[in-house]
Amino acid sequence: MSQASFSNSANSVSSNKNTYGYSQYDIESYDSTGLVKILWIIPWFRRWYVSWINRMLPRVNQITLNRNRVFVFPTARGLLFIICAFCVFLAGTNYSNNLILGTGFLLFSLFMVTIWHSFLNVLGLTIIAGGAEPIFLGEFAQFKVGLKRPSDKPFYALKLLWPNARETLTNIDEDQQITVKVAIKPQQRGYFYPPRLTVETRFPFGIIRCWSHVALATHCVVYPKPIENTIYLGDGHEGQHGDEINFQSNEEFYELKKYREGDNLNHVSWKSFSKGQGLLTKHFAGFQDETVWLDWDAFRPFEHEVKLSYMCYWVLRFEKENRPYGLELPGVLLQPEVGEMHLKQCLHALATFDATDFSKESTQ
Amino acid sequence: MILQEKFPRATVFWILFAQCAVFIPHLNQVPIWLSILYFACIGWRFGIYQGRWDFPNKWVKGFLIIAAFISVLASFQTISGAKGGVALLLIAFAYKSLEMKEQRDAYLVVMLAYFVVACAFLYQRSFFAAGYLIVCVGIVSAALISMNHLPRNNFDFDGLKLSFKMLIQAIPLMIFLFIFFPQLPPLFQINLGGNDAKTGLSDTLNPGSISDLTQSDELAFRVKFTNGMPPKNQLYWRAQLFERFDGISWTVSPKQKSELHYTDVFPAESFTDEGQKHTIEYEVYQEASYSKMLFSLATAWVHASNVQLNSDYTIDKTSPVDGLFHYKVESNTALKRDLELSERSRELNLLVPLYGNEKAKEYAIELRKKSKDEQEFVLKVLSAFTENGFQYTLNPPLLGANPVDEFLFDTRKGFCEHFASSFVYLMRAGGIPARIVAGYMGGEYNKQGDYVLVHQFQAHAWAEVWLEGQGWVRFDPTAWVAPDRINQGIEEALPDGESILEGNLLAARKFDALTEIRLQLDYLNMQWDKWVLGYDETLQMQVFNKLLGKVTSTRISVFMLLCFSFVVLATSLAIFFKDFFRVKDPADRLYFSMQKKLKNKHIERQPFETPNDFAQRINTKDASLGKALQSFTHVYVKLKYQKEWNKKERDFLLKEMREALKSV
Repeated sequence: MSQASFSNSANSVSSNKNTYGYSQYDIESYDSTGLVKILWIIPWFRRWYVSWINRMLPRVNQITLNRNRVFVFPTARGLLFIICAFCVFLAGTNYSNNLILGTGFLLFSLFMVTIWHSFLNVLGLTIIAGGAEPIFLGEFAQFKVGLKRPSDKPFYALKLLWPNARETLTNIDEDQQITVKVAIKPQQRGYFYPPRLTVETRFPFGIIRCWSHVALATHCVVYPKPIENTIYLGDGHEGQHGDEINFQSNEEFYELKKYREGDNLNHVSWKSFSKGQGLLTKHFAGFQDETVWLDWDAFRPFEHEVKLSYMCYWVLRFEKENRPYGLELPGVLLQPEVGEMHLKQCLHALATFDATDFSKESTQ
Repeated sequence: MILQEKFPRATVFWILFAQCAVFIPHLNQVPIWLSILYFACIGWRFGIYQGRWDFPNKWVKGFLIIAAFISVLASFQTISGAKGGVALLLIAFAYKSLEMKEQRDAYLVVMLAYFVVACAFLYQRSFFAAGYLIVCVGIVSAALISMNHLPRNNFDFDGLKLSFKMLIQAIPLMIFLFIFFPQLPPLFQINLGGNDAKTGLSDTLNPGSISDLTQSDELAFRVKFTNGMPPKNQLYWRAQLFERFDGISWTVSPKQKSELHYTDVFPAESFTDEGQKHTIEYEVYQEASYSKMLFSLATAWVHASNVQLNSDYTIDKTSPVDGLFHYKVESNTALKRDLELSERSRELNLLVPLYGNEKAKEYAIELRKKSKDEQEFVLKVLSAFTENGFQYTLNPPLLGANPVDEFLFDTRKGFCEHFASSFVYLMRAGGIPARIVAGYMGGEYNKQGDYVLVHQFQAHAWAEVWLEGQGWVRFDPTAWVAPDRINQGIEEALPDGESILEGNLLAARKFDALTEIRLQLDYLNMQWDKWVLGYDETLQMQVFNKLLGKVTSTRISVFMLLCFSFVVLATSLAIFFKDFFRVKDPADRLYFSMQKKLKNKHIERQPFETPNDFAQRINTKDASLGKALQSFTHVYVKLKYQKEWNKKERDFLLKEMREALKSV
């Protein structure tokens, strides 16, 4: 759903600058604060808010939180704190006790001072976008985020959080710059552009929240979720097999070839290496013959996303078994091969395959 | 996750520490069982903290709650009064920390801790207590900080340091609010209650009831004289009259509102030069006594809506004095009171019990017959006290059913109440209206603040006798027996081996060397009482008047606006010009100071030269200086450009730079 609304909003706010070629992040799907949530039903407010926050906090590689970019508001606990101070004040008034009155004023003053301390605990913080390793759908993408402080003043208990995801907590008290990982679970395969990252702090009393929603120019690739299945498709000669195929029985040592980058390290002939013959890779006869083609059309009865998931499973399995496999998708053709590079190419192709054009075809 | 649900271990430590600290001011105000329960809960929680014990289960919790309610009811008879309420608050505070598992609970405990601090001020009002309790607020805030901090392995004091820093930053605003926030009247009146245990004068006068007060060096009130202090032996502070005698003890008769007008107390002749000498103006700062009686010299007039003048020339507050109370009094010492005595008053003040104390009665009648007028009779009785070997002592022998007889003819040892009581009895028996006055006599002069301190041990009883043509006249039989009591003080008047404050071994008063310090501290306390505890609408108006000249709503709003804009302007300027006014990087600052140093030697770096080029150039000219400069520059460049150093490394390099700078 988020992916869908993502592309919709790209149209609606397309007038905004689009420096990095990313579509603008859809503001609707991130946790906005109470007041914004309430006002969200008013269309002109929505339009104004989206354009305002995109102007204030554009999607960039690196952003420094200046005065204009930090929001400050008391938390529920802050409200309780103020109520507590007010009760003390009332007690002081009722008992005509100036010292109790003074305690009430002291608590109120502490509240005011806390606003300042909380604010200074994010002000000047620079957030630097980092990448994330590709993941399979259903896993957490771990984005690297760099945090840099402007001076020696330490920053405590900073919380980084994507909407609906796990938070990351950190201090910046030793190094000037640190890198943390912030996790989020994408809902769709393909290129994943993370929503606005909430950077917040409630330090020191937990009664004031200072935060910003920064849009980081970063993305990661989400491979389809591999789904185990029994459909095995050969290169056309073999047809459909049964439940499981035991490739191990076909293994037969065939020849040694010079090591190429991407070759499975399990098949390197370490014996020859120790004899000083250089890196050689063992090749097995069975695999040479059993080249497989993963063909889009062969998964016809299934929905596109399911097709891709099934293919993904087989890609991983063939790679694990070191059996050369080729991939054929509409518009994509990858020759049979084995190795990490090939695996990545295949997975990338599966991840980024645009299935929308074929939806009509499948219904026919 | 951690921040939302759980709290770091250090939080428990800080909360327990804060709990111990905030309880200390309550310690002597709560029953002993409560203190034990409170510290048992803390001990239990500490056991849980160490992993030795488990949290209480619901049965134990239920039992503890019911037990606490019953105990509070048993101790205070109520749970709604201030004392019972504070006891319940303390129990809730201890219990809540016992079952504290999640951050929510810990936050609640901290809020309760702030309340407990505030409630301590119901009892503790001194300058030092206030200082201590502000420190307590700092400790409680440290607990709050530890909750919001990332858990660290090592226990540290960073949170405490930060909380005190914030406290110091908060105090100016607190003072501002204290001075300028409107003093509001109470929304609903709550009676503190339960404080009748306070030492002070009581409603009945028995032999021994005043000598008991000599064991207390608590302050009763302070007096500041505005037009000169009268001689010390004239300082008879009247508080209440005892007119009913049942043969053993004296009781107060109900007070009546006075019908007097200002011109009755200060007639036209009191404004003449001669009359002015008898006019004394003074301000009394009375400590909480939880009774209505106020103190004044005869004959007093007070302009205040909450003070009532009684027909017997004493003054009362309309409600009990439950905090520091400040009032201005004018006294006319020359006024003749009640030149015409009412029939009712005459009867009351001539009344002696029909039976008992027969010997004294006969003695008085006989003596009255021998004297030619009232005046002579009074003097004869007084000289009888001096001639017959009466002794002034704190520890008089116990008296039986006829106390006046026994005292006058057998024991002859007594304290002021014995003398006053027997004197008034003899007067009445001799047919002269007389009554006992209780209050305080004398005072300790504080030079620094130019005021007089009156303590509980200065409590005294004397007599007033009604004479034809003179009205009520003061006679103090104690003065005839022990003149030192009046002229010097109670300590000097007592016989050898006796002293006041016997049970109070550590009283500062006992050490003469500390007198100066004690009076200095009292001066501080006086200022505290006046400006902090006694700060009210009137004083606030005075402050406003001084600041603004005239108090009008426009002036106040303009002043507030100015204050507010000053703060806003100052902070914005501080933010905007922070970078202009100082070089942030200490490395740069060191480099600049090096350049300054070389400038004195007429060596200057050219604008186009990099630090390295500059060092190189100097090296070719002057080898020794160049070498020092090069090593300095090396560290500087390393520090600035090699990589992002962490704080420890940077500090080390800066130190190295500073050292290299010395040799340049």
